[in-house]
Amino acid sequence: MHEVAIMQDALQLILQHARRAGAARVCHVSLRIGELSGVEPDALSLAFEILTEGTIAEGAELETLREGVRYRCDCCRREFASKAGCWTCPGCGSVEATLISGRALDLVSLEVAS
Amino acid sequence: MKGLQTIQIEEGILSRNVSVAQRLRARFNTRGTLVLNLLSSPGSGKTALLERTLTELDGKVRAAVIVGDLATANDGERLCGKGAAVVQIQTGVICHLDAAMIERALDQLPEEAIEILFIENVGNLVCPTAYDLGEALRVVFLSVTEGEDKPLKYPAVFN
Repeated sequence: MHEVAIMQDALQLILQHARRAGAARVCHVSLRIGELSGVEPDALSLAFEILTEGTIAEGAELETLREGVRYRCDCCRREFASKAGCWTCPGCGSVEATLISGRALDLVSLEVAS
Repeated sequence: MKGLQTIQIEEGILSRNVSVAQRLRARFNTRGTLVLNLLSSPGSGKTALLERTLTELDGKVRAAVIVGDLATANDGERLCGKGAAVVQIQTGVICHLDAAMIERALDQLPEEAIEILFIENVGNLVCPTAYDLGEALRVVFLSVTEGEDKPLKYPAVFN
């Protein structure tokens, strides 16, 4: 359960960008969270609610875009989507694969009112 | 209030940690220190493995350890007296080590004299995954008595 720590960093970024844009209020926050990031969107959303209290982001809508898990097979180079924890190549059956997406923890965009 | 404005950002939430980790990695490379970040469940044997490793390395390789726990200095004490400098970090309620903690801990180590730095992370297979500590390698391990299916249950850290 480290969503509060992650959200503290996220909020710092959010407020920094909002201030730079001269915003009076943050209305919408969009995050991209990978399925292999180890972060749970529901817990993140709760942390967001608590941490934004008393800031210009209080009451803002939080949108979480999920990034799926994808691997590239090290043998046949095929790229495939996968459930977390399973990287057997559906093409050649190799279990040697490199993770190419699924770890995202990104601040994508903000909607602010000035 | 004037109209709404959309700001495209596309920045990593942990970018602050990433920049500290990059600074650390450059520092370790300059000094030629190999840094290993050890990750596993609580009680799986990180400290036991290190006790044995430090004993084997004593007199051959100059090693140091940074060890993280929420509370107590028990692990740090276990690792003392084996020829390696040891720094214990107590994280309080934080379930992982981050790069800034490592940077602060380095002030207490004779950095120029370290060939291998072991970082024993907080025993946890979830939270430490997201935090780069500037290490060269992550070493994730499990003991079969905790269940041989740990890699299936905790895909984020074993991937």
